[in-house]
This record gives sequence, structure tokens and C-alpha cells, in this order.
Amino acid sequence: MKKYSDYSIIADLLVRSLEEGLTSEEEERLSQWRKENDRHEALYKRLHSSSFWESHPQWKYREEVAEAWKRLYSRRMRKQRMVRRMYWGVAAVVAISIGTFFLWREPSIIEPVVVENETIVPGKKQAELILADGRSMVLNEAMSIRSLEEKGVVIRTEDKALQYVDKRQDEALSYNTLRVPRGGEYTILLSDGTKVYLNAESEMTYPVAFRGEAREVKLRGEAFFEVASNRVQPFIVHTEQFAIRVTGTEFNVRAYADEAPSATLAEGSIQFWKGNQMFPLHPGQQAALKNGEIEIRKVNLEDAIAWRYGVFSFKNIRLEDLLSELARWYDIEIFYQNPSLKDLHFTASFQRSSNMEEVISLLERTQKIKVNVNGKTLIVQNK
Amino acid sequence: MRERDIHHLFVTYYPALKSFAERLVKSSETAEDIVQDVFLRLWEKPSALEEAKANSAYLYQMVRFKAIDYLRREKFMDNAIRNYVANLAEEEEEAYLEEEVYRRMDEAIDTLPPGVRSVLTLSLKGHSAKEVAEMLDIAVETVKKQKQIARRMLRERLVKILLIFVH
Repeated sequence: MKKYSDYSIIADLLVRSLEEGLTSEEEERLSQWRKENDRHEALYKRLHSSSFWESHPQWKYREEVAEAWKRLYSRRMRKQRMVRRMYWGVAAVVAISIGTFFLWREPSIIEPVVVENETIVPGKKQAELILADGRSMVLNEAMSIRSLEEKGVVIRTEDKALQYVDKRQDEALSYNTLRVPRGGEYTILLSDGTKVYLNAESEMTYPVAFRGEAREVKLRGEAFFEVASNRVQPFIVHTEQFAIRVTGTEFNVRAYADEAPSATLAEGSIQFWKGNQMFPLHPGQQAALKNGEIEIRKVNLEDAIAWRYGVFSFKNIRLEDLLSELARWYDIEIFYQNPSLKDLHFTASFQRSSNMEEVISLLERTQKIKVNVNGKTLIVQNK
Repeated sequence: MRERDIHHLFVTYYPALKSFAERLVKSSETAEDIVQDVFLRLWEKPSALEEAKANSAYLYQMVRFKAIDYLRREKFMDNAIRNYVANLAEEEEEAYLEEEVYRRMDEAIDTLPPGVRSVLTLSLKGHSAKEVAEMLDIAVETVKKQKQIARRMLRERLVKILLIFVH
């Protein structure tokens, strides 16, 4: 069925034709395909018309994905159970014959081996979860929590995010901490439905379920919040130097120890609290703390929250700030042979999934600096 | 690990495959059954899963086989159906392209920041900048600017683009 791989190439050309992203050769190839027959031309026109996007069945089917997955999963389990039952027949005979009684419980956590290597790679989904009793477990692409219960709250990982599901709503507060190392990021869905994206080298402490008058969490590092709306129980993010209070909205908080902390609002409205002073913020505004003074300014939202969408976006940024951001994501150290290099200004944007060689070759293309790699250290020199 | 891969494929392709199957069998219930059968198969046959991960068109092919299978097996094996199955090949290419183009665009749009995403979605649905501005209660200029940003970000996601200047 070679046919389908040809189709796939045409699909790619069609998608990019929608965004005028075709080179002239590709343009040529697509126009050949359009000329092949009337149906092709009609399809092209249809894809380029707005009605195609207006009411597509995929819209509707997207809503049912979770339900459909549940159905599929239980079908799969039923099939498996039938196979397993045959094993149990044998196991029961063995158990009785040696006079022992087994209580079998499926392990709730799978922990395959992690392979470490020394080369520089982009950050990935990884974090450490610290439970109320101090136990901790590592979460990453390969390790997941199937189901764990704490104070009536079910904790599990789903879709590469940590999830809290409040089952009983009657217990006292119990706190967990999620710690994301350098070279990591992780998403967490709190029991109230609030989604938090934690960036590299960040840590958040939060109750497994929210009780009382406010939903309060503590943050170090950077996180993007999509707070579930709840007017009677405001959501409060505490950092060492300030607090953010909202009822339901989207915003970014950045509170790394080595730089001026800030909060940026994407949608809705938030209150920025420093001691008992309050400053309201509007979308696109950022409040930053510099030497204890609050500075409110308009920022480019796209740059401020680019990380959440898998992109680095730097506009006119000092090299030192740019590289310290990369250092957190690629888990590297930076060494400057000449301190004045730190003050060069760069503008750049690239995917967070880019590998280190790509990024270095970009930086070097400016002809201003030269970067050598030694293990996990970047050595920055004058060109 | 297999479960994770299957889940990922399912979330990514379920809407497109169901809509694709529905075009072929003209029933949304049957379409769902077919898609589920395909995914059960991935669970049972690791080589099929590997193939699907490497080449998403393979999933559409599996759905197509199951759909034709269903049409043949079911009671409606009268002449009309026989003709329909015979002519399916022509419709297939279109069906695949429509679903896959929609899915890929949708996936790319999904990664945009919320503000620009809503501007772009409304624009794609044919609303003018003025209408979008009214709907979202923002200035027309903002809509135009956001649209530009959205298109640019979208292009960056569709083709991995790198750019940099120094000054």
C-alpha cells in the first residue's frame, strides 16, 4: 500500500498551503496534483473554504475521546482477564497443595530502568513527587502511578500529567510536593480542576484536595496556571516574595531565586500582593519585583509564556539571561571566558525540543560568539 | 509502555479515524466499533503498533480494511453495496486527505496560546476581523495583530523554523 504514503505527502503539502508555508517547488508539486483530476481541485478548494472549518465531525468526536478510551480499555481488560483466569486455575491448585494462602495485589507503580548518558539533551517530562508522609517517587516518561490514595484523594498519572481526584471531600488537608529538576517539566491537574505546568528547576507544594476558604499553593521557580473558576474559594499562589490571588484565569509566575521574580497575566484578571499592598493586573501585563520595588509593565505575552507551548522566545535579551534559561532546560553549566560577553543582546526563537548543536550553531551564526562544549559545560568565547 | 503508546495514538487519531470510518460505513456507531477493533489489534500485535507509530497512514489503512470487511459481511451485500465498495477507492483518497489535513491543522492550532488561538479559530471559520473583535471584545487592530502572530507561530509549528538576529 504505497498509495497511502503518497497521500500523506499530499496531506502535508495541503496543510502547509493553508498557511502559505510552501516553497516554490512544493507549490509546483501541489498544483500538479490539483490538475490530476477534478476531484483533487474540488478538494483543494473545499479545504481552503471557511465552511470546512466551521462544522467538522472531528470537533464532536474530540469531546468523546476520554469516554471512548474507557470503553476500549475495559474491552481490553475483559479479554485479558479471560486469559488470566486460566493461569489462576493452576495457581489455586498449587496454593492449596502446599497449604499456603496468598493475597495477591498488583503493584501500583511500574519502575523500569532509566538510562543516563552524558550528552546534552533537551529537557523532558520528569519530576519527583513527595507525599505527605515524606515518601517520594520519580515520575517521567517511563514511570507512572496507576493509582494511589491519600486522604480520600486518588492520585494517578494520566496523559503524562499528575492528577488528583477528590473522592470523599471530608478529610483534613494533606500536602504533597512536586519537584521538577533541571532538564525537566511536568504538568499537574489539581483536585479542583486547575492545571499547572511546572517548568524546569521548580517546586510546588499543594494540598491533595482543597478545603476551607481558599485554594493555596506554594511555588518556587516557574509555573503556568490555568485556574479552574471558583468565586467563593479564591486560588492563591505564594512565592517567597509575593502572592497572586485569583478566582479563575490563566497566568504565569516566575520566582527563581537568582533573578527578579515576576507574574504575567494571560487572561482574566489577577491580584498581585506584596505584603498588604495589592496591585491589580490586566492581560498582557507583568508585575516584577526589583530590589523590593514593584514594577508593572506591558510585555509581549507570546514571549513570556512561550515555554508553556514548547517554544523559547527571546526578544532583545542579555546573553547571560538567555543562557541561564537554556541551562535550566538542557541541564548544563555556562562558563564565560570574558564577562563582557554576558551583556550582548540576542533575539531568537526556537522549539524547546531543538538539540544543543542546533542551538549552538544558531548562536554562532551571529558571528559574535563562539561556543565550545565540554561534557555538560558550554564555554562561551569571543569570536 | 505499550499502553502509553496506544493511548497516545488513540487521543491523537480517534476523532479523525472515527470521522474517516463514518464516511465509509455511514454509521457513527459502526464507525466507533471499527476504530476500537483497530486499536485492540494494536494491543495484540506489537508489529502493527510499531508500524502505526512510524506511519500514521497505516491506521487509516487498518480502518479501511475493517470497514470494507464490515460492508462485505453485513447483510447489505446487495448490488448497491457491491458497487459502492468497488468505487470506494476514489473516495478513499479524499476521505483520508480531508481528515488528515483537518487533524494536523487542529493539532498545530492547539499548541497556540489561548488568546491567539481563539482569534485564529474564529477567523478560520470565516469571521471578519471586525466580527472577531466584537465577539472577543477587543480592538480590530488587536485582532489583526494576533492573527499575524498566530499565523507566524503556526508556520513555525508546521515546519520547524529557527530564526535569530543579533544587534
